[in-house]
Amino acid sequence: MRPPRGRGGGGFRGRSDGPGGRGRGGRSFGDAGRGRGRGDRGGRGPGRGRGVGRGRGGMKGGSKVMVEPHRHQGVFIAKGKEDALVTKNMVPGEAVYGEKRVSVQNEDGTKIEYRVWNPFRSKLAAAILGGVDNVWIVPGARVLYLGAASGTTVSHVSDIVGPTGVVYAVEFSHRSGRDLVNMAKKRTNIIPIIEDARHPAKYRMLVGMVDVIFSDVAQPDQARILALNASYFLKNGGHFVISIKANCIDSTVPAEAVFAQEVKKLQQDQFKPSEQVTLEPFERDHACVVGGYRVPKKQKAAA
Amino acid sequence: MSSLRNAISRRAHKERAQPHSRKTFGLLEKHKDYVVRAKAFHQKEESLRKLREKAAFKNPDEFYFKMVRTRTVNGVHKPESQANKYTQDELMLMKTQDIGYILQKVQSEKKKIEKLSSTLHSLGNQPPNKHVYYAEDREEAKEIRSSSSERGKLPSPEDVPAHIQRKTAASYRELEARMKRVNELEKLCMDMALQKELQKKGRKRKLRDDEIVSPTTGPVYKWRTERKRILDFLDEVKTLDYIHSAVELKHINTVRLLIVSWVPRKTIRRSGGGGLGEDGAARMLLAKDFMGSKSYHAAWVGVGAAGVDEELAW
Repeated sequence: MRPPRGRGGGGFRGRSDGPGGRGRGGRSFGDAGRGRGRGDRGGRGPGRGRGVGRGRGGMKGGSKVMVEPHRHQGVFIAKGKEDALVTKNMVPGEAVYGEKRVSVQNEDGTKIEYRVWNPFRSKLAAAILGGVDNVWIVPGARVLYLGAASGTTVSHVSDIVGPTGVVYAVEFSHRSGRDLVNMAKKRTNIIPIIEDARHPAKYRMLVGMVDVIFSDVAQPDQARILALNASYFLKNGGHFVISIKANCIDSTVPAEAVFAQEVKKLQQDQFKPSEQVTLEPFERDHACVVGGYRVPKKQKAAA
Repeated sequence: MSSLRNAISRRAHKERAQPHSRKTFGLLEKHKDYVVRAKAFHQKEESLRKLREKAAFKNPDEFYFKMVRTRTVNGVHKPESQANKYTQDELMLMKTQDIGYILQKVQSEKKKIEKLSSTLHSLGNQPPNKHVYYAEDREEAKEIRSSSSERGKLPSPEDVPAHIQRKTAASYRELEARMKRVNELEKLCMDMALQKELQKKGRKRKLRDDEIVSPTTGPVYKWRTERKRILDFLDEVKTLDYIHSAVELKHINTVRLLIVSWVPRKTIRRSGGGGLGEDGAARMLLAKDFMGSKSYHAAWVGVGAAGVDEELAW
């Protein structure tokens, strides 16, 4: 009597907690790879969706990811296993810096691929998540990007401006410039410039007038660099976005004071800052300042 | 025929149950239950018989070499003590390896967190950052203030299907669990490192509660400061080079320190440590160089180590 009961009990216990616990962990990892795979296959998705009859506005019953536009033009939000800021990939099938890609199928069967924008690696993404009102980088815009580095953010900016826009990406370091150039080979709207942003005269022949300057140079004289470039390339009434790293400018005073000091410097150079966001959960002691350049004084006349 | 027989309903067969008065004994035992029970009983009986037989035929002079170190107490075999199975050094090494394993896990966990957090931006939540607007005059400020409440928010779609919402929630849960795990692993790692340090040589004591400057939950230890000989850190061959360069730089104190620490004290006392050979001669030369600084001690050390007559050295 006893032996069978003992064995049965042991077996049951083993099944209930041993593999169950392990299985839970395993499943969550497994999905990371599988989720995308199934999304790509897609053919099954829409069919099932129509069958369910929930297919309003391009949302399919069986889809795993939902992408919808963000407040900022050209930026999207993906909901699914990820809850992320994404941009529409200009070069489908390729990741620039190993970021995750999400593809979604339209009603007409075309697939659109989006790339997840990592705010820990991109200050622009961090600023957008920080709730900045306007980044001025919109589809069709011409953007001068100072401090492009390896081109992680540049690739997303090129996604946003799309084929009708242009991104002039300036980077001084040859090492990271190499990655930038390689990336620009596949994205036709990026013009990589391996030059010192302190001397815009050297690349004045390459760059036309731009609508927006994004500056992420992390130098003590970054306000001057921005002003210099703006005087060359930024149109009147154009806009600037500058990311300020407090430690790079003055590590002895509190970050807030550094930001205020930089804003003052900008104001002296015909810039009119409109807002400033700190990049808090993603970067420490960083701020992003957005504003206009040589803004016509219309409001005063109205008042 | 048989089907016809089956058509007629028979009286249901009722199995006999345990009488109510004997309910304490459980279910009524049937023959097949008895068979199982009897088999188990006889098996045990048989094994007991075999053991008894073995005991009866045992050779009183039986000897195994294991008996030298182990013994039986009241018929129970006491295995050899495992207390000193590993030396202190081996234990130290094992502890290091344990810490290494935990560190590796921390690293891999951190990597996973990085991967997860790169795709989970908590879009629904209000970011904990500061947003400043710049206005030229009051009217503009008022305008901004009135419109900021509506535009400050990110669009949080309410019409996300339930199955997608579940997926997102699961990802956030995983991220949170991993963060917790890293925290725990790091704590564990620090604890292990402390235990390892405590087992090393060196005088230390646990601080009392009133001595701890910044209050913590764990115990705090303080080590006695200890002067280390340079020889412990420096390679012997290199030391000579260091001394030479220090002499060239006329850095007298460094030379003195190096020479004194280099030569073992015992050798000095014996004042004739011939075992040092050529190095001793080199040291003697150094000592001679050193005479300018009138460091008697250093010179004496050099000479003593070289095993050369004092006059010769001078």
